[in-house]
Amino acid sequence: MGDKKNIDRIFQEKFKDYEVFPETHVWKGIEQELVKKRKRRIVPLWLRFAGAAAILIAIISIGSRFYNTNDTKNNLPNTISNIDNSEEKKDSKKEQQQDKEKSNVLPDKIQTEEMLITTQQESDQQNSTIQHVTSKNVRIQNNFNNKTTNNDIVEVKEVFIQQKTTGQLQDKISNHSEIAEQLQKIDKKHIALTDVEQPTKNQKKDITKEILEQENIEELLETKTKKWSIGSTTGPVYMNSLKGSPIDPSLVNNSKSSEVSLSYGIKVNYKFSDKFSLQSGVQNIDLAYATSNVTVSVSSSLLDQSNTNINFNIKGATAQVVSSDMHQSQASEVSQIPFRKISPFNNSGSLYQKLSYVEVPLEAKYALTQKKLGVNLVGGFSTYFLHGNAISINSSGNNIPLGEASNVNDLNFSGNVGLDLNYNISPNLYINTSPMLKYQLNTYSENSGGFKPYFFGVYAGINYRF
Amino acid sequence: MSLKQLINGCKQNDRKAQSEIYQLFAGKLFGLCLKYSRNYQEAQDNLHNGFLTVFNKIEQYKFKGSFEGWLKRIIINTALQTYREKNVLNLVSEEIPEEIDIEIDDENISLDYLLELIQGLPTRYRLVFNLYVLDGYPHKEIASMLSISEGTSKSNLSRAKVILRNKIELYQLKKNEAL
Repeated sequence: MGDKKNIDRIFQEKFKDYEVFPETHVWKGIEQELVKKRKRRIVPLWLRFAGAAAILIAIISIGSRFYNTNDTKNNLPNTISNIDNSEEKKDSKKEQQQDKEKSNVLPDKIQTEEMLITTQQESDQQNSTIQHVTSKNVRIQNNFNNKTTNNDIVEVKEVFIQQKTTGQLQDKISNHSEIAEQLQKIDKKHIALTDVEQPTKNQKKDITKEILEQENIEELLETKTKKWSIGSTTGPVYMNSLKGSPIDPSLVNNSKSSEVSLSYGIKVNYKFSDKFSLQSGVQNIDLAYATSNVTVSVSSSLLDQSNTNINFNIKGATAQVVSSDMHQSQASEVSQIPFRKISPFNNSGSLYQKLSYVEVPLEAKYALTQKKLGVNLVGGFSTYFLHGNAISINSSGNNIPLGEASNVNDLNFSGNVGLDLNYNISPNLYINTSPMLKYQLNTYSENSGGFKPYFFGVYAGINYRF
Repeated sequence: MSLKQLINGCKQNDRKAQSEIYQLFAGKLFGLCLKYSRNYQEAQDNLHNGFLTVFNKIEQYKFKGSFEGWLKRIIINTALQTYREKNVLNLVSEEIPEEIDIEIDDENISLDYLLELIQGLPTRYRLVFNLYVLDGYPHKEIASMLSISEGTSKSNLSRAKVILRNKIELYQLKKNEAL
């Protein structure tokens, strides 16, 4: 018998330097989470350098895609860290899919038989019958879908069909007969049928079929995980303002008109989840705006002061702009328009202002529907970098350049809202059109007669998913 | 690399530094987790969550006080968090038996068995026992950590000790009989 001891003391002594090293998988779990966390942290950074980063990533992604086309898994930088996971998922999905097929084929025996017969009869015939088979196939697949609880598989199968329809015709024939064979194999009745019709081929095909099937499934799962897309965007843009003048407050009441101009560029889209995606890109946009009934004059005194050659654009000179619209303006309504550059001139007519920007949008997209035709709500903002700025006067058919407006900001922003409709041509390719309204926030730095322009554009493009 | 360098590495989100910090402290902290948890699995979960908190909040560690102490506090908090989430219903404060000195024979008791005993205690008894006896928190602090009264804390402790003594005595009795 030992000494009696206080229970506290016993525990304290025993556990004084208590150490147990955990199993190694605990650290792996932590490490995985840390990788995820870091990825999440990239997003705000990405937001901050919005356009630039998006373009860079797009270029790198495309580059690496062309660089090693064989190793498709590495093409998606965002999946690299999760390869372990995704492979596990793939395996389990494959199993699930096979299970599902087994369980679902039996009740659908009649239809399967129907399809089977058509497939075999028609597969050797003309191309037109292929579509028939395809539609049957679709029906059967849909039948699966109704009973399948796993949404992923449903999607995968839909994509599967789409792939088929776009593939080579010969591939189609062989693939469809393969599917038929698959179904036969599961159902004993069907095995008997094929044994009669194809007594020798079956065994050979069994192996190739299984390999092909596996490859197909892997491909499909990859299409499903495609998160990036890149595409063109082009469209007419129409600029207008609720009020004001882009040139000078004194011209607020002159009649004005806007020209429809073209915007074009590239767009990058990253899908965060089934519902949300983020898009960015680079676009060029030209805006043209006319103010009619204006007289412009550059006085000789101003030109003298400048001490430079008077022939062409003189830096820092100012011109007098007078509204010649007799309804509103008086002779006293003279103001100095802050041109950066102006050539000596005295004429009346319409003032044309032309601004060119590089636009970098950053928009979030929310999918309302995701069928073959997808409808998305789009909201976000754009950053504009001014690269062209010209004012000219159009007088009796002649267009004479005046100079640059100095009240235009080199950098400005707009708030964007709109819709985006997309239509999937193939798993990799989709076209989209998107009506957008963009409200300008700070186009003009100085007094511009309350000119707050907005533009309305209908963009369209073709996009590649990878 | 010194501990300070490692901590700074963690602040930069350096994976290697994080790994080394883990290697350095995982043993001690997992021991801690085992004492505060019901079983091995729960201890692993707590260690996992605890270390994630550590790496996410490491910028808050300003080199005041020992790093190990800071780590321990986070791990204990993680364990308590599990308790708070699971324990929606709180018992009303119980009658307090006076603090009693329980003495037992310390012969033939393995560490594993003691751990088993601790893990077998009802959750709150286990937490109070750990906090008070093994990690030296006063009742007042324990009460606020667990959102119970000081009285409840004391009462829980006494009950925990009674349970432990009874089990140990039974265990020793069986062992002696076997001999």
